[in-house]
Amino acid sequence: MILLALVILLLAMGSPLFVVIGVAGSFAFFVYGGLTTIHDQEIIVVQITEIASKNVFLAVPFFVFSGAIMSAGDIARRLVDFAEALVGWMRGGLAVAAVLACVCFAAISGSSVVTLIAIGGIMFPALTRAGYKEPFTIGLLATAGSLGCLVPPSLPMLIYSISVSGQSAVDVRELFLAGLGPAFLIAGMLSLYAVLRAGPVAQSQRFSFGRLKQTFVRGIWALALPGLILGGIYGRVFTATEASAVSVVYAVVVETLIHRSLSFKQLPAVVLKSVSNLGALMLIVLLSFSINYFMVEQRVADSALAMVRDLGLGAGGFMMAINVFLVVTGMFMDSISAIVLFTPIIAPAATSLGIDPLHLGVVFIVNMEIGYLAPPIATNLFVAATIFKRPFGMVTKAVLPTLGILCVGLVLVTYIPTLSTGPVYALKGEGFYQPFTKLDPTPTPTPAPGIDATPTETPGKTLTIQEMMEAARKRREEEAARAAAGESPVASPTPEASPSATPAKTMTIQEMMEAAKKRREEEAAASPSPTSSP
Amino acid sequence: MLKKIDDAIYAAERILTLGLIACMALAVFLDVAHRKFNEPVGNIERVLTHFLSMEQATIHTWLVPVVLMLLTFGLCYAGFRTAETEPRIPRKKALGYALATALGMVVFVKGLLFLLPNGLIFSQKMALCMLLWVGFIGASMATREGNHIVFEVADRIWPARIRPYVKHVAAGSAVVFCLGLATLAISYTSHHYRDWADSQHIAGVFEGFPAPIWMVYGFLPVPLVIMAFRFARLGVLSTEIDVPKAEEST
Repeated sequence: MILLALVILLLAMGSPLFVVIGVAGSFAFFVYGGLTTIHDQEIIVVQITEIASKNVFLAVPFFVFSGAIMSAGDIARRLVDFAEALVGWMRGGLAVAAVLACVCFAAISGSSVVTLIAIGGIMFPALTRAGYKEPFTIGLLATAGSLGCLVPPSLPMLIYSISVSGQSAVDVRELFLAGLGPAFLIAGMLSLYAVLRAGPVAQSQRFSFGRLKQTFVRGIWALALPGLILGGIYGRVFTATEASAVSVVYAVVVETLIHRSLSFKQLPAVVLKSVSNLGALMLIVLLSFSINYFMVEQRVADSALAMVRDLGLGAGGFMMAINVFLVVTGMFMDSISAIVLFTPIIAPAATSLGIDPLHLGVVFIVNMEIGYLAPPIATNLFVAATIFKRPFGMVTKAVLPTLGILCVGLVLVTYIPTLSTGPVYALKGEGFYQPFTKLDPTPTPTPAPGIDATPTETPGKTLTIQEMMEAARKRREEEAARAAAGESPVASPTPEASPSATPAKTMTIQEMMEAAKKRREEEAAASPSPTSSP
Repeated sequence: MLKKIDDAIYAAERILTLGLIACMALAVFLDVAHRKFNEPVGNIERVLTHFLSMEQATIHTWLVPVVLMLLTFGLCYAGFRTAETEPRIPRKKALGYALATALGMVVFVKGLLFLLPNGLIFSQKMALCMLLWVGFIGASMATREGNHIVFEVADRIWPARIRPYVKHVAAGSAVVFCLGLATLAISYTSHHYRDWADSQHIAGVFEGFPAPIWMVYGFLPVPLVIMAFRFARLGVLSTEIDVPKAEEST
């Protein structure tokens, strides 16, 4: 209760979100975790530095940078031209082209907001000029822009894959693939809506193969990027992280040398603009990890699962409840923070009810997509109101029909898991159709925070920094003992403190350091060449 | 005076960030390139072996390099032909440029394999460490640029008269938080430093990336202190108390 009051007070004062999250984490550890000293509170820094062991996290800045570089060029215009040439001839073609351009651009930028700004900025005047009604245009563009969440490489998906672990862990490559089906489904529904609601605007142009070819050639380097990224990832040429670095180099080469819409002089400004946004986002995510860790240590997921069982919801009812919860959460919270904060509670409960973690991940992301459009904290609505220069209230009303479509899409994605997981398992040769609950329900698994950490044996007590350091030390000692006995060393996940072990209890840092020093001296005395390695 | 200091810090941050990002992207990209071209059996070879009934050795020694060269040449040619220069690059010139670029790439890859026989296996770890720095410096830059996410409810719920003071308190909370986090980071880094120093530099380094942990984490307090400074300068110490005009007139 005090924690909630503190959070509300800080929010009401207008403190930055990262301060609110950081203070909430620290306070939770202090009051509920029993971590009362400064040394104990270092757990927050430990969780921040944990990203140095999460390779997938590297993809976030790289995709942000490549998206920024591509957006600063004239890729959006090329994609719009191509989409117009491809589908502009049909009834409501220009509106369908806008949806298609949003999907293609989302596959380049990985961000809903960037997609809305880039495509919306071009298509809003074009659509209204062609006779489409303003509310329809605004609603369609704001909703299609939010597809950036679902189309790979999606930043929320990357964050989701980092936030879950243990039995609920998902491979980011599989999550990307799982997002494609729902993305196409929702894009298809929006296109259908565009065709049906086109009204008097029948078609904007005749189909011309010559124009299609011309716009395809002009946009080929932009259209090739999603192919390069996804083809590279699924062709096992590179990992998602490596794909992100390749996409940065590709974006620089294409925009500066081929499209020539950016000069090398302009590049630093473009990148630096995104660094500031990245920094603001990263601090929130990193501090959220400490709350994520706290909730795992406190076994909040177990309580949530017990509650679900008491309510007797079953998998279907649980998913419905989750959807309601996440939509409401999305209305009041930033999507990325919501992912980091709530996945450790929801994912284990869902897994133990037999729901596929990949399916849950996609449902989670679709909910966050709705969150981008649901007031009062609706990022895409704010952006739409700004770039289209229309009142927020008008934009909110305009988006209601397409928000309804998105909700229908959410229900379909939730209750037909094949839409998301089918392609993934089909590629693995496990069949396309997937039942709603696939896995055997297991008794209350508790997820691990971060990479491989597991909770302490006694819930209610969080591992202290000393305990973590001790665990790491023990591992090193075991490895040294193995090495001394002539066995091959076993690779440890990281040399840093990792809360994966459950040591009995707790030396002070000084005692630990002393013990380590003594051990090294003994080793040095026993053998002239030290055998221990980190 | 404070503004001048802030400007100097900001300029340094921009340069450092750009350098770090360039290093990160290049290191990971070169690692991918090295690994792909150093594979005993590459993807192209696998595809060719699957479809052609030729000897593996012939495919490996002759066919793969030719196909690779042709692919590279084709991509370069397409790049030059579609490059939006004024005037457009004519076909013959594009062929010449593409051939030269493709040969340049071959030399580059051979040089990479020769100079770095073991590749850049530490690239991702190094990039992650740099990412920590970039993230924190970015957060510090975001403070200056007013880019941190804030729920702007304060403007609506507080009476206009006390609103500026509430904003000062909010900025003050950010200052205290940043300094507190910097203190924790220093304290945490000191454990790693002692570990590293006491072990004659054997322990306390990253696995697969021989940099001392304290050196990487030890940087974190710097942007945090700068953030605190900026929140103090722009929020707490700011004399521009934006009392609404209606209020002023009364």
